[in-house]
Amino acid sequence: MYPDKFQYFTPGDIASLEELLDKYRDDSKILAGGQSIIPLLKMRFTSIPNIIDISNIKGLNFIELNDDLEIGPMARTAEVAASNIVAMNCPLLFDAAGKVADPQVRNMGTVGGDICEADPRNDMPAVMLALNADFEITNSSGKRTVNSTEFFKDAYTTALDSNDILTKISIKNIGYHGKYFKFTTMASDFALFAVAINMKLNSDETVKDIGIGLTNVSSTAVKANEVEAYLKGKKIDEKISEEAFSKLLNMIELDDDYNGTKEEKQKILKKIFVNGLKEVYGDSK
Amino acid sequence: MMVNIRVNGKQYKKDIEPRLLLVNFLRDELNLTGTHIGCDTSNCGACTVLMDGKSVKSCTVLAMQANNHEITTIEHEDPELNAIKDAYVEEQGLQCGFCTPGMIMETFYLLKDAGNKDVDDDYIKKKLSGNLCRCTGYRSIIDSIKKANEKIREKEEIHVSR
Repeated sequence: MYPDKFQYFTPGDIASLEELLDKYRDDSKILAGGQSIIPLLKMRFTSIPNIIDISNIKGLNFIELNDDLEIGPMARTAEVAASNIVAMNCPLLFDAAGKVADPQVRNMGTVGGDICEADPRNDMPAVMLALNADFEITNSSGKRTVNSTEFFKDAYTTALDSNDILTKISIKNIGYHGKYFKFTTMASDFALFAVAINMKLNSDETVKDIGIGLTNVSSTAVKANEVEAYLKGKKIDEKISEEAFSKLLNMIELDDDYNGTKEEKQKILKKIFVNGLKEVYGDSK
Repeated sequence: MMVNIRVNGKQYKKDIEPRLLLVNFLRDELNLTGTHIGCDTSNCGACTVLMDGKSVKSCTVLAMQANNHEITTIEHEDPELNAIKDAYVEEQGLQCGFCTPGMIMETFYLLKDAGNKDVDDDYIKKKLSGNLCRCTGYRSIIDSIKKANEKIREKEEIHVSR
């Protein structure tokens, strides 16, 4: 299968990238690893006249610990999944990056691309919501920072304008315990649904801070605000987890489809959620 | 557009359409038909090749993205790659053989990437999650990978030739 015809650009620096984006605006798209966009182009679900590959721009591939954990938009998912800095400071991201698709896709795909594509089945949006990450966005008129909670608007739709570039992912909630619980019917496939949990405890074992994000339960990744608020200050046990799950059900949309009925899905999601909370709470102690 | 791609140690300079996929570049432009097109939707892994030593699905990479990079395919005569081919023959890690080029290239990558890790069932299964085989049930493939690991560690004599 071939994509529709397009012009291909490889700018060498941010300034020429901005110039190209300003010129082509809606008729262009940034290509990072291409693991989401190339399949869409091949199936002709979409057709983009101008593809701008950013892999030749230096300084976009970094994983650094300053005050926050900072990740560049060209950091490959496999690099994040193998990074000691990420493993030590952000176990949720480390775990989730290693569970994205399969090894070949992780070698090519980027965390930044996963976020900007905003496919509701993508793993990173929910992880970023659980981490409360900030995104530095650059365009020809300057830089701004957008929090992940304001970033994901709808399926394939984000707060990015057509000339915007994601230039940095900042994670300030570091030193937490966290894990990504992904339920798939095939090892390398998209998640049927997944739960990202990031947690920090007080010395008396009550929850100090918690972030929960969900993949593929709505038209975009979901941050479970009400559940987070409910769990803060509590010690997590079976009863509290089940109460938290009933609050979660109000925030998501599960439908019958070929993967199962709504009831069946709820049952599995409940198991994943309750066990996940228990596991991360246990790790945090 | 002009691309400069090093494939199996040989430099190729070609004028191609930007929408050409890496797998079609290898098969149609260079006549390296060892790399197979399976599902063509980045699921099956039959098209797996190495780009700068890392496995990628060549049906989901534009040839332009490989510009100035080094590609390794199943045709490469690397001694370790040949040891893996030997192991697949000895352990019968294939039946119809369609997925095999991808399996062998991913094996090449996962053995290099293992470092100090044990190449056990668990590790192999995780690393092989991007490659589908509809014949073998994977058992003989996992055995082949373990055998290949031994061969490479012990630098056994290699029998496979073109």
